[in-house]
Amino acid sequence: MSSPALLELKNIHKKFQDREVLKDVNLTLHAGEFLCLLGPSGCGKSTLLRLMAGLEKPTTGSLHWQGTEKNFAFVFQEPQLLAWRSVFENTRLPLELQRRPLHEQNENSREALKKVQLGDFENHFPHELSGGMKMRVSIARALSSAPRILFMDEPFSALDEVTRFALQRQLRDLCETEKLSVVFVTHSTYEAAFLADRILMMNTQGGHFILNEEIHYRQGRNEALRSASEYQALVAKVSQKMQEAFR
Amino acid sequence: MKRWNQAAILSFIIALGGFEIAVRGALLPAFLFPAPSTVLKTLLDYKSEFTTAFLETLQGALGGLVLSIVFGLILAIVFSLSAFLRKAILPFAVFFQTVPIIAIAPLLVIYFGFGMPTVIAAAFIVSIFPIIANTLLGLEGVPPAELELFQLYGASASQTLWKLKFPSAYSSIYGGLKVSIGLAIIGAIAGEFVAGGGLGAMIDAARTQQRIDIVFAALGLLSLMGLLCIYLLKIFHRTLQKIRPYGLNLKD
Repeated sequence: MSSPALLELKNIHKKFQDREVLKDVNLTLHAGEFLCLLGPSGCGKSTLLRLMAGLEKPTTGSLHWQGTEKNFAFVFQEPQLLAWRSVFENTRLPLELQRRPLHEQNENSREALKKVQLGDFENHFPHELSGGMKMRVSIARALSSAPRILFMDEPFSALDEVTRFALQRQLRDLCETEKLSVVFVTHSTYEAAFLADRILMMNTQGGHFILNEEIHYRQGRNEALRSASEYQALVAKVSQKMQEAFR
Repeated sequence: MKRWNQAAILSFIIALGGFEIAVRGALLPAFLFPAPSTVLKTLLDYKSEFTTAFLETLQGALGGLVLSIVFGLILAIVFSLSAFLRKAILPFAVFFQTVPIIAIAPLLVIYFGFGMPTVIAAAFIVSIFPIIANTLLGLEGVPPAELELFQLYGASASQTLWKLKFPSAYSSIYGGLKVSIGLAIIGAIAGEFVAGGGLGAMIDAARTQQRIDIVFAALGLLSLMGLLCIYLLKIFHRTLQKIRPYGLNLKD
């Protein structure tokens, strides 16, 4: 990957009491890259993501951001929408908390909602939305602050397959048009193979990477890709690696 | 009308009817248990006295309740922000919860004199604890991921309190209010026993005159007062829900 590095993690160790979750992790996120952290539950991939977002502190090791501004947003596994706030107010929340000017709050939020095709739902409340729509609001909320990096922690894992596929396509398109860099945590090889420019597979113990696969498809990331032989071959390769590692 | 409403009204009518039959049929002694028809007649005979007493007790209970809401919310917020102050002050609130109000009421008369201030103080002392405890529970029960969301966007302590913790605590505060309404009425009555006025003083006077019918009529009015206050709280909750879905999972 020739793009400049946005974020570098050097010799990261993370311990919870006596349990070492991450051991000597080194990772570089490049500008415009869609990076998937893949691995089974409990391998430390969410911890690594939370470390990048500053929600956890490394026991030892360091994080280096390009420039001084940590311009990122985080999308949780659950949408985490505030039930008493409308879709628009939920989307506006980051800008409100950052005390941006009101016109900027409103413009950015409306624009973010349009990007996830929820422009007509801004006055609805979360309980009036489907699971997929809630997640799209959560993504709009992340986009409203115009981040350079999106950290996403298994955001589609609770959704049905049809919604999940649709959101994967939308996310991939959004990242390309917005030139976003993404770190996406998942335990699904299919999801990782569809979304990622690079897959990093984590070991169960100690958190080092057992696979670092760059992905270049001949065709675009559309629905047809899922039945293409190059996609199927990659899924088979990654799955086999996973089977070998976690047997 | 909802099915549970119909069930409540039906069971109330059956209970009253059964009571009436039992007293008239001499299954229950009338000098200890007046028939509902006798109680109703007493209510009508002393309509103006009961109305005045009802409004006085209501005023005392609501006065105490409003003070409890104001100070209860402030204290819960302070406790949620400072573990030190919680440890320093919360035991006093627990003291008020555990010491019987009837034991404190004579002291209140000494401090506040006869009349409304003592009644309000008694209602306040009895009803503040559920508001503190429930609000604190709600403020501290915010899902960790929502707190992390606010942390990620650099929210200040005040933003986290007003934009997340407080709205999130609505269901708990509502639960505390429901309990406190009943307690405020109990406190007001206990206050009136010693400080005079309202239905409490009426009950006390009727006791000395062996007027069981007046006692029962006053008890009926007290139940009505509790139901009325709870109903008003529900109306407030439903109206608020139409504007903004706070406490979405609350069951009536």
